[in-house]
Amino acid sequence: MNDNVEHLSDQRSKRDSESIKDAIKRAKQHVRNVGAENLDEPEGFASGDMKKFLDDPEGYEKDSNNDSE
Amino acid sequence: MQASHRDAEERYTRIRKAVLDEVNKELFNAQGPLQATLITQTALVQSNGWKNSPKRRVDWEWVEGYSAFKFRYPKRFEMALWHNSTLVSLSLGRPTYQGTKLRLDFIEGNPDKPKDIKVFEHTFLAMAGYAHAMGANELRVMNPINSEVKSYYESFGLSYNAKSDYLYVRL
Repeated sequence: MNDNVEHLSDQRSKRDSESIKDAIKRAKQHVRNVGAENLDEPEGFASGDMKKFLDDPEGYEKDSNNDSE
Repeated sequence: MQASHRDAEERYTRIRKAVLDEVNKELFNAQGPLQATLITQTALVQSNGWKNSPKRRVDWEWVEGYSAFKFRYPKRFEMALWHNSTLVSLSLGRPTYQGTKLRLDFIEGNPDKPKDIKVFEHTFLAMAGYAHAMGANELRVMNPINSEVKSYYESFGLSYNAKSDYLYVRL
């Protein structure tokens, strides 16, 4: 098989990475549009409730499924 | 680990890596020494050092948290962000049950990172890339730890859902 031939899987992989790249660029533009570049991040920046998850992963998942859609 | 779980883990790890590769191109263009990776053992070991910081606002065990999350969610979103060889943030999330939204369940910045290094913006970009790859059209950031953090997210155009304590933005 000719190594110079681009396979369908190569084309799909390239297309997938192009679309991810485009999604990232759109998100970057969104950050610019809302003026959020270079904002100071709060000290001790964090989000989430890891304790709740670790204490009861099933319950955590159940709660999140209830409001997930 | 069952074969189907292992297959899923491998398939979604390829997607996670593809997303982080694209994020790193952005970082290379804009930030120089910042780099995004999957969450590695080295990252988890470094995160243990955050326990000693008086600036830390949470007392999470990332080693345990990551292990449990990884086991349950092969489709998870994950990212470790580095400034040179210093870990500056860890983040973990997952698609919702029907796959139409991507949640950020946990994110923590290194409490002692320099003030000029921002971690959420890069996490936001990576989430947008992963959401696209997964076919999700909304990002959610769960459980902001205080009102200052909530306001910070709102500056990024995210809206707050008080009933379920998360912020969201449509893509």
